[in-house]
Formats: sequence, structure tokens, C-alpha cells
Amino acid sequence: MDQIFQKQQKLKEALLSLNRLQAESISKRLTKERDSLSLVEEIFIPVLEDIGQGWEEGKYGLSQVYWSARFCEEWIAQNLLDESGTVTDNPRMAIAVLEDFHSLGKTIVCSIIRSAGFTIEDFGIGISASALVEKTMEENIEILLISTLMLPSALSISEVYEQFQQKNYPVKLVVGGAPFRIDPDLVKEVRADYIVKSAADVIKVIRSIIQIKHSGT
Amino acid sequence: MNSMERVLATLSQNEPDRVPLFLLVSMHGAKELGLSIQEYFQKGEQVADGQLRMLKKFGHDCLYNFFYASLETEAMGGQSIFRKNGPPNSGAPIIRNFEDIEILELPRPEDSPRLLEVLKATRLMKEAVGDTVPIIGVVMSPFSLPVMQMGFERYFDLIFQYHVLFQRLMALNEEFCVAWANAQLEAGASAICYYDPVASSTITFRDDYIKNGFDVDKRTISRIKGPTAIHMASGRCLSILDLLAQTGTTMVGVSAEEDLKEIKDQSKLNILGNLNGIRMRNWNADQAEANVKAAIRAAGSGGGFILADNHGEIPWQIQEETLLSISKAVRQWGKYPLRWIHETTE
Repeated sequence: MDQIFQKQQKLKEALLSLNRLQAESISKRLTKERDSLSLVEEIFIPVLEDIGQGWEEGKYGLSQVYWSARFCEEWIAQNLLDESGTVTDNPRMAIAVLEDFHSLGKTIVCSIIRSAGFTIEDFGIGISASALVEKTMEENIEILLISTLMLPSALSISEVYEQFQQKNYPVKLVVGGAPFRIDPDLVKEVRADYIVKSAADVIKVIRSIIQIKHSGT
Repeated sequence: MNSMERVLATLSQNEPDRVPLFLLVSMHGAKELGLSIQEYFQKGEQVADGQLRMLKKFGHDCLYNFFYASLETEAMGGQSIFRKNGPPNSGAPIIRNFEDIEILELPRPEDSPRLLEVLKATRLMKEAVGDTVPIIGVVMSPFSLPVMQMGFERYFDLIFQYHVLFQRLMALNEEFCVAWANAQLEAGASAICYYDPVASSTITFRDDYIKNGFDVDKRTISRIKGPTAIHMASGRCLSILDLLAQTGTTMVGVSAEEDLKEIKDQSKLNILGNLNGIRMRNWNADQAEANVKAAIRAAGSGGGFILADNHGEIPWQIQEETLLSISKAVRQWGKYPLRWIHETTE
């Protein structure tokens, strides 16, 4: 356990210092020592979650979270995963930036989800509530992640929820972005199912949805 | 005391007659005039009219010439995408590739019809209030403007991978920012609110701010010919308070995510903040009063504090009644000396 912790710490330090060469060198060494699945599950994802948690606590900057997530996604895609990913039970997931045009949060979340071996569709930025509902239903999406930056966009998630209700379409709504960080109660107001406050939460939330689905509750 | 005297006293770390209140309302002026947000911001005279009406209605202590954040990139050839119930989004980035920075030229503020509307609004407000009410001008910091010029991800890549181009962009933005700030001061602005969310520790790690943004802020603020307040626009600043104090700014706008008392205890700067502008939309009169009291209790003693929201732009969704309740609570609980804060711990 201590050994794993030490390896996590080394990778984390390289990522936080944005040192690509060092991060690559550590990752290469780890690849020789471990199989892909344990490397992702025991090293990469815990490190990304730890960095995300550190951001939430004010210890790290978003630039570090972004860089770490992008590095891990690229490294894992190029060196560890085949096209199907490592996850066999991958729910149909999509992510979008509702009405807003800032994609940073979406990019980070996508990178972390893909690093964990899941596949996720990217519905892009600046999408309207109606277009998002239509696309979600067309693609038979089960988990829809919605990122927003501004309050009016966050409030528009209610509209998304209502349209799904009217069409009787079952989908789990996972929301995140600055308005939800400043006011966590907003998640209830827009009637979303889950909130992702930082990179630390996203994989836990997805796995929790999968678990609930399997348990039939 | 008039508003200007009240604000100057608190900025000198003295206690005025009461805690000054900056209701940083921009879009609400459109409601006053019965216009859409997009229509309202087309003409400087409308913005001046809206600001003066809101000053009268809410009885706060400043006028605010802020239109919306993407106005600066509009002046640089970009677009704003308006919506009915909030500030416009910045449209397609004006810098699409890193190479664009090599040939980028930024306009002079006086050549931009959109920025001239801001100057017109500022002049009209100044004519109306003279030196009795501070007029707050606004610039985006050179270090934060690229988020709108090129998007967040590309900007991070620029900072960490293309240092020469990053420096060139900073040099261009610095010139623009200084010229734009000084033009507003010449038109009648009393001080400049210098928005710098990328400097906040929510976005940038302290060491990276020291390496990349700190000198930019120091250079820029030193060339602005008036007082400035560096504003984090909801971002956290506790870990860089010492650095911000060295930029030459006189005030810091702080996040609702941070403890106002902790900031007050650790900061040499005057403090602006930090009512939660998102939660504010659901406050009743009692909650508005409680939040005003909590902020005054945390940071009011000894002056050096102006009560405001945490973001620098009160959301469109906030009801007029809530703003009136805030204003009333400041009048009731913000009177110096603040004896009540020692009498109760509620």
C-alpha cells in the first residue's frame, strides 16, 4: 500500500509541476510494472481525484487540474487502452456545455472519464436546452453531464429536466460548473440528480449511478 | 457624509459614518428603462440614465460604468452573444491559432465605437454627480483577458508551452488595458475595478501566478493613473493576498467561498465583497439582513471595507426588493461605531 502511495505521490508531483518529461518517465516505468487496469485504477485515477480534491480545497489551481487531466487522458489513450476502453459495462454517456461557450470544465471532465476507460460523447458547447434533449434522446444517452459557467445557463437545466419529463425519457442528469460551486443548493432547484464539484467527484458519481442501476433501486 | 467622503474615509482605513455599499448592478438598468439587455447597452446615455435611476432607488455608494465583460473583445473584432436573462457570452475567439498572436494588433480605445459609448456614459454620470459619488470604471486585466480572446484551454497551452508568444500577448494587452483604464479616468471615473480572475488561486497556482501574471499586474497597475481595486470575480485570493498587495492596488474584491474575517485579518488591502450573488436570488428580507450583518461583523471594524457582491456583477435574477433589503440593512447595521458586533454573537 505504501509503495502504491509513493508511486501516486511521484506522479502527482510531476503533474502538479506540469513537468511532461518527468510525468512521461514515471508513467513509462509504471507501465512496465503493472497491468493497464491496475495502473489506471490504482495510480492514475486516484492521483487525478487527489488533485481535483486539492483544487476544491484551494490547494491547487485549475490550470494544474486541466494539465493533469489532459496528460493522463493522452498517455492512457496512447499507451494503455485499446479503442474499446477498459470498462466493459459502459453506460451511454454524453457531456455538453449548456448555452455557455466556455469548455474548460467539459474538457477536464471528459479527460478524466476517458482516463478511467469509459467512453463519452461530446455534444459540444453553446447548445440549447431543446437541442440537448433532442440529441440525448437520439443517441439513447443514459447519463447526461451538463457543464455551465453562468447562472442563467445553470437555471436552464430546469428546462432540460422538464422536457425530459414531458417526453418521459429516463436519464440521469449530472451537473457542474461555477454557479453550483458558489451555491450547491442550486442542484436541487434545477432538479438534477447529481453534482460534480470537482475532478475528484466525477468517477465516483458515474460508478454510483452504475451501481444503483445494477441493484435496480 | 456623501458617498465619496464615505468611500475615501474607508479606503484610508478610517471608520466613516457607515459601511459603504457598492451594489454593482449593471443589467438591472435595462429593467429601469424597460429595455432588453442588448438594447440597453447600445447607448451610453441609456446606461448613464439607468445607473443614476438605480443610485436614487437603492441609495448605494457608487455608479458603475460596466457594460459587460466581452465588450473589450468586441472592440478587438470579436462578438458578443446576447441573451434575455444575463450578460452576453463572448463569441468566437479573436485568436484562433497561436500564430495569430504574431500579427495581432489591438485597437486604441478611442477608435472603438463600443468603448466610446462607455466613455460617454462615464462623462454623463460625472456631469450628474460631480465629486459626490465615486464612478467605478472597469478593465479586464491583461493576464485574464486571453480567456475571452482565445478560450481557456488554448490560453493555458499558451502560458505553459509558448512563452515568447505569451509574452507578446501580455505586452499587447498591457498597452490596451492601460490606455482603456486611463481613458475612463479621463472621462470621469474615480477608480478602476481591475478584473483578474485568472490570477485567483481558483484558476492559477500561486507559483504560476508569480511566474506568469504577477509582473504583468504590477506593470499594468503602476501605469493606471488612478486608484484600482483588483477583483477576483468569485475566485479565491487568500493564498496570494501578499502578492496582490505588492501590485500597487488599493483594494481586493473577494470570493464568497472565502472567509471574510480571515481575509480581513491577513490583508493589508482594503476589501470589497463578498455577498453571495448566486444565493442572493432566493434571499428574503431577513436573510438579506442576516448576510449583511455577517459580512459587516467579519470585515467592518476599523474601516477598509466596502460591502458588495462577490462577483462584481449582480445577476439579472436578483429582485429589486432584495437589493432594497440589502441597502436597508446596511443603513441599520453598518453605522459606525459598530458596537453591536461586540454585544451579540448571533
